Amino acid sequence: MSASTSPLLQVDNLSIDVRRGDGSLRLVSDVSFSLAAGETLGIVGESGSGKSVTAMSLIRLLPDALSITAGTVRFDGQDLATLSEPNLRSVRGNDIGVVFQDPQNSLNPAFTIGNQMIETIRAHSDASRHEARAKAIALLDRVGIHRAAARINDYPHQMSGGMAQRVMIAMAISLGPKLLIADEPTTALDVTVQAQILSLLRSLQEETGMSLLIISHDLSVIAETADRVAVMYGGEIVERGDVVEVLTAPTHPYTEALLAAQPEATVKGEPLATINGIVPNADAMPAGCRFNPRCGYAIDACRETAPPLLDVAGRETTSVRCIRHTELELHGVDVAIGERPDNSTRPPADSPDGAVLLEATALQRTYALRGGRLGRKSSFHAVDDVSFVLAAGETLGVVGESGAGKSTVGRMVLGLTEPSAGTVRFDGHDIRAQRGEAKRATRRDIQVVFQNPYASLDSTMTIGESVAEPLEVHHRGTKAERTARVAELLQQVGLDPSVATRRPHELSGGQRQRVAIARGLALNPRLIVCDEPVSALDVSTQAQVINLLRELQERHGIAYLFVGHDLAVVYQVSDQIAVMYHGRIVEMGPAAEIYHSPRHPYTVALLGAVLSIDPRQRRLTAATTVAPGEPSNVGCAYANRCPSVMDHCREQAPPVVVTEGINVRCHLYGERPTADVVPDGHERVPSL
Amino acid sequence: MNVWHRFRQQKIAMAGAVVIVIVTLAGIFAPMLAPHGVGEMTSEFMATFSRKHYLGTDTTGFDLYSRLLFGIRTSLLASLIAVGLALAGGMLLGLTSGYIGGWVDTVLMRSTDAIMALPGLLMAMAVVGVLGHGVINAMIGLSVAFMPGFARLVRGQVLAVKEESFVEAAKVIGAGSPRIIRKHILPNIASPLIVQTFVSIGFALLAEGALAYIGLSVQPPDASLGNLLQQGFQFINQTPRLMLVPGVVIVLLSLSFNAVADGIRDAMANKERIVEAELSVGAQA
Amino acid sequence: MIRVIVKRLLATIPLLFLITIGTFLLAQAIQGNPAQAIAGDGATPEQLAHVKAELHLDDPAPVRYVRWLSDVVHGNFGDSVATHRSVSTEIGRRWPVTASLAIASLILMLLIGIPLGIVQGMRPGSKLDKLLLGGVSLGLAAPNFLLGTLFVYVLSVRNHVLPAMSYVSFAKSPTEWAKHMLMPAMSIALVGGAEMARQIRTGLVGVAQSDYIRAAKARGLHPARITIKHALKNAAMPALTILGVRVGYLLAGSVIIEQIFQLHGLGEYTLQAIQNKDFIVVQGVVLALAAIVVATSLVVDIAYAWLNPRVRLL
Repeated sequence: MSASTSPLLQVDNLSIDVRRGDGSLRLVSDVSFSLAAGETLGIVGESGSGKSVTAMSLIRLLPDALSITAGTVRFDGQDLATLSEPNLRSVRGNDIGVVFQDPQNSLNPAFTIGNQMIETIRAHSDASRHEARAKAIALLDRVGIHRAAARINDYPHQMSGGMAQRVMIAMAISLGPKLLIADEPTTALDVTVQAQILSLLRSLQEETGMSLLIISHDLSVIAETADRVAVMYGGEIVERGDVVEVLTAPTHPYTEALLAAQPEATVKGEPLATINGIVPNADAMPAGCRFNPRCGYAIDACRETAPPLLDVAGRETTSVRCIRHTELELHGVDVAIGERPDNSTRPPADSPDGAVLLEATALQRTYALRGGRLGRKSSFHAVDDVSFVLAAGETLGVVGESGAGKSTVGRMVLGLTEPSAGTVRFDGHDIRAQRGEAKRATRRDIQVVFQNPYASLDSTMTIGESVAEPLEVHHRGTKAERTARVAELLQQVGLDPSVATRRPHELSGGQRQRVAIARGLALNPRLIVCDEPVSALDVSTQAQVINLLRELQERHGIAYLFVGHDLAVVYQVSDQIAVMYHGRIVEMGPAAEIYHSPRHPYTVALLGAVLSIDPRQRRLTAATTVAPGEPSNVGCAYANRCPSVMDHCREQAPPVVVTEGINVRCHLYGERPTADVVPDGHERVPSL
Repeated sequence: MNVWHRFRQQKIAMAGAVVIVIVTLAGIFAPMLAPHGVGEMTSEFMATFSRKHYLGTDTTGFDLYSRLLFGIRTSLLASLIAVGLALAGGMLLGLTSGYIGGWVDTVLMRSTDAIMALPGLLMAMAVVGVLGHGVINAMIGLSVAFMPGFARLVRGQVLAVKEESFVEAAKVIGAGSPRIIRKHILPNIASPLIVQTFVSIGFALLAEGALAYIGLSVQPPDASLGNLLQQGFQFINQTPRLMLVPGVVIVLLSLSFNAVADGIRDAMANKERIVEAELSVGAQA
Repeated sequence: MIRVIVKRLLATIPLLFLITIGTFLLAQAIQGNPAQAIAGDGATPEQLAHVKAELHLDDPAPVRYVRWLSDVVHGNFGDSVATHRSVSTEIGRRWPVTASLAIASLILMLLIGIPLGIVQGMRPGSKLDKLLLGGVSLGLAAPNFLLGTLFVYVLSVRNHVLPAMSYVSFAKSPTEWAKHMLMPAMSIALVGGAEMARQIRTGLVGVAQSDYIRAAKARGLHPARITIKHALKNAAMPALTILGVRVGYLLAGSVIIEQIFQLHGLGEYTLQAIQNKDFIVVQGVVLALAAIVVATSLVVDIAYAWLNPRVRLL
């Protein structure tokens, strides 16, 4: 860190407490970092690390119960921690802008976006209404919103997530702040939209020289955007320094473990590296080093004294909170990971062993929409012409962005949603036609694990009751036998059987998800539909649950229909992958093929937007744009966004073509392609 | 349980609970506690507070203290029964409407809308008009007035809970509707219902008081807090005591029920759902 | 927006139908023997037969219902059994009294409730808030008829500050009107205002946690502006719904208040009719009252739809 220019933001020994009952609890402890002008600092950590609280505290935007109890926040010569309210208000919005995680909820639904933008501009400047409005339109244009002059009169609910975030960014930069704080700015967005937003931020930085403080749980976002990084755990900074140094050669065991737990850090087929245990609660912090109970390198001294943050010899910028950092040789991001061959031992899907368990044919789910004049209806295909095959004991991953229809497909297989057309055959039988005992038998064989661990367990029932419910419903065994089975199931998913008497709110997200899996296993199903089962979990917990699912599959031969939006995760767990866009499967085939050599332009775009945790392999530039475009209802749905689009694409919907063992729904691989551009040099079917 | 513990921490709610318990016990044991019968005339007229008549007597020679006890008994009983009936009916309607949906829902909701179009008191009056005077008919009238509110509340809650993941999980498991309603929906809608019940009892007390005040509830010489108020009103100039005493009691009771309802609401975890639920009920009586 | 209005209007029609049926059945239930009631106790059999023939009282119920309905649509609500005076005329005479009471109560209610709610909502948990909460609870707990009688006692009987009863039309003398209306309106407004205050307070407290309020603070907006502009608009919507229900009740007249203050409004009319088993009046007045409530709800619904952009732009 150069000593010649004093940093824009200097945080020293910041501590934040929360008022609890009669006493208080320390949430953030002795945090120090700095940020220079024009620089990007990333703060990364899992839930419970205190990163968001830290960021919000910089401009004192904390809930009433929380307060800064120690430390200084020097910004531009003033200490924000003790600044008077009126002065703080003029810093907020003017010198420091904030972008939040949930853009649509961060905008007042009762007013137009123009109203809110103009209000902000006029609160901090002398602009007239007219001038402020003109400026707002210019800002909207700058952040990439088309037809800004018209859209300025829109209400928040009329915008998509990506657009709303652009509006938030426009508002945050409207007065030319020196620092932009972005708290999980892309967590709620699709991966292609994330790419656009991050590249927008970069281009804004290049243009204005603004500093960026970006907080994220997603290491790849940090790797992509940050110059320097601070890793937080248990309310403390455990490692801090230049992003390439920290991520390629970490000096703290937690950083190493976090990197290793990322799905892309493990070769497919191997179990993911996990971190034992769970993040400690603020009121139950371990003695000594906070990470020591979970640390693979802990020694006695680690349990006795809390280590201070020390500079690492030989490195200009790195500081670390570990007494063993001089002795340990830790592994960081491995460049070669992505290129190592697939280690899975599964036979390909068309081998004769795999008996077909689940077969979907031309599934369709249509919703009637009320559009236009009174009563005139148009229809919307949530799922259109979806067909796939799943063999026993295998995993089919269904991946797509929000609105692609992947969850709907899962629900149709489960029987929660009726298909408007098409059939679902389980074991050769049409499940819709089944009644009575046959229907009940199918129910037993197809189970589910939902996304939200907090909502999928009834909070009024104990864990034991929830897990036993399938057994009760199907009258399996006596009460005593059921209790024994519950204990056995809990053990299988890695939980202590004593958990059975507790209630869901006493468990962590990861533990609840394990309970949900235990419940799913209770009837020995042959197929489990996993609807985004790890999306709501931290990376380290995610790794544990993925390993668990894989292990159960090996042991019991369960097939999975795995729905997800995170390609790296889906790649790890799946044998076959189906990529969905706007209700249709656009590409389907063996996981390795899809992941490493995508054919459909959408899959290419999707994979191109996936960020790497290796800071040396940045994908985005200030000019990266994925062409915005609404899915089309005539012809190919992707036509409005496809870089290789041909006239033919807009008129006729492409059929599914089988090429090199992959199903692709694209004219480029069909009978009469006329474009020369085919992604990545794949074989085209020669024209007739 | 957690909820009770948190409830205990709220002083006002606890005070309300204590008042309710004391007054209820007084009502239950009224026949034993009251030195005179409810219609028993003593030899003293318009006597003031004394050792013989704690609260004095009224113009007909009735002992006010005794009449007050019996009045509490009647009013509380009427309110409890009215709300109980309304709760039962409302739950039946709301569960059916919310769970089944479709045209059943539309028909039931339109009907409750129609009933709600008449202000509660008027509705109760109309029912009493049809059935005749008397406290039992007043109870029926009141329950009809409160039922649509409960039905609305239950329906709203059922609709919300129906969409939750754990209900879907139960369906995937193969649980049938009866089981889902019994084990998943009912326990999860309990909290706002309990809060609303207490609030309604408070309102029902006032409503019964109103009905008695205009002579549509208990008939003399029976006592109800309402008709005690009405009798007291006639002598408000000479002997304010006759009206103030039942007045204070009725306000105190109503306050207590509201305080307990607030306490329960604050002590329960899912506060947002409760507040939303209350909005769906609208005002009562 | 037009579509929303039309939809709401269309939804109201079946509702009104149900109400007319209900009212008709109610009236039938009140009076089992309409001919006798109309003719009077001492009627001879010929008079009875005459009444029956004239009013078609021997026709089956559905026919009578339709006939009554068509009369109603033409503005003819029949004649009172007790007084033999036209019901619609009587309604016309009494309606201004009830309307005055409703409007006065509404104004007072808003004047009391909204500022109270805002003050409490801006700083929940503060000493002022706790103090006001006590007052609000008291307001909610006191029956309006008790308040009414207390007012009469304190302000009229004891101190002769305000007149205790009767009604002076606004047209005749605004000051007299106000003096006569003040106590009855206050009795109703105190309870209603307390409810409004509580709704607004709850709404503001709920909204204060939301992301957009936090984002507004992050932009450095002044706290007063945040509460009054941002929070209030969102908190107001549920409060508006409650208000709508309340207003309907107000317009329907407060029976007891009218009794206490000797205001000859629709509420008093209804009460007398019920006590006299005057089913024709009951039929007419209840229908009129219900229709008023429905109309008010409709207006409030539309206002709500207009305020809420999500609904307005549907």
